[in-house]
Amino acid sequence: MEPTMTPEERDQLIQRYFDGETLGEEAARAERLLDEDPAAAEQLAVLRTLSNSIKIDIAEVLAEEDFSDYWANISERLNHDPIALSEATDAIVAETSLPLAAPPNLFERLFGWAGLAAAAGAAALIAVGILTRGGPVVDPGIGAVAAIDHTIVVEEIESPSSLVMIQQEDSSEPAIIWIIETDEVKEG
Amino acid sequence: MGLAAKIETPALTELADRDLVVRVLDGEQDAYKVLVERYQGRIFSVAYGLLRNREDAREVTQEAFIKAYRNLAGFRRDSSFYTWIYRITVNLGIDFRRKAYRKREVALDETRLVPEDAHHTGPRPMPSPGVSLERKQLGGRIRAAIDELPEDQRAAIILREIQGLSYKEIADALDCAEGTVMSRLFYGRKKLQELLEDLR
Repeated sequence: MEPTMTPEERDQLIQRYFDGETLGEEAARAERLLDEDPAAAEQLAVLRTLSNSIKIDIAEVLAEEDFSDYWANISERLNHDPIALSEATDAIVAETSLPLAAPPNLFERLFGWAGLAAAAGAAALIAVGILTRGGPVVDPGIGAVAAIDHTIVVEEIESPSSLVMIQQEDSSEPAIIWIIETDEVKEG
Repeated sequence: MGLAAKIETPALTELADRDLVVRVLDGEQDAYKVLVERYQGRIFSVAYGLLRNREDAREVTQEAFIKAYRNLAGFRRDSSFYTWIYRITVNLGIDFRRKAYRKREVALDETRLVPEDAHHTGPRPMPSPGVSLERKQLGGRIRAAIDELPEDQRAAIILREIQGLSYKEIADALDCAEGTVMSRLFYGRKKLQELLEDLR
């Protein structure tokens, strides 16, 4: 046993080693201890015997268990309470960021997020010329993912705020837009 | 060939737990059947480890799945489904044990298998004709010894020894710190060593 280690500390280290919870230096330390200290080796043997005995006991019980009617019993009880599932769905949709449902109204969320900036945006003079660039369109029947270029060129934006909303005239829904300032824009 | 023809929908049994949970919440009850069938053996083992009684373990296992289904909204999907349902099972098992033992103390005494060489009480006898008497007695002694442990130590040992969970996973399932798990395992095993000293 290492000079500074009590019997309890030794056994705790051996337990962690046995459970696969030691890494690197701690694992090496446990292995050294097992080589040098017969009490440590004895403790490891006890843990193995105990573990095997428990496993065998439960495995025998498990092997005899008939699970064939479990699902029938469970589903019968679940079908008596269909309300729980819809409540669960609502709650999990609310908590998650996964796209389980489309956001109801992006404008409302945007205004809610930055009402002041949006109000400033509404008052702003925005001169936008939108030209749809005819980008390459890949036939979705050929590739696994269709690469469609939806790039539009915005020639000029004037706004007292850094927050600007853009909506295409012929679209009822706003789009998610990344605005990238290019050299051409800077020069213009 | 169109795009649709190239996309193959994986069978439910091939889906990860997380995806199955999403399917269940989307109204697909067959997805929950897959989760039940995937974990029923493990949950039964935990329940049996805690309760030492087949009928009780069966009841707690089924109840755990029903409770999990009804509380899917509370399932934090940054944790794993199985540690979550282990937690439900352990809580139900502890609760069941407290209630059942108060109610049926006399009845259990009459049906427990009590090994000749042990003073501890054990569970009901299990029909296992191929198993030797010696092995039966050993099983009875192990069950009796585990029965002696405090609930928190018993739960930690079952999750570690039967389910092979890491300390982190046990901590998640029992809602405690990893250091607490190590301590429960350590003192629980020491107690078992004392009770089963002649097995060395």
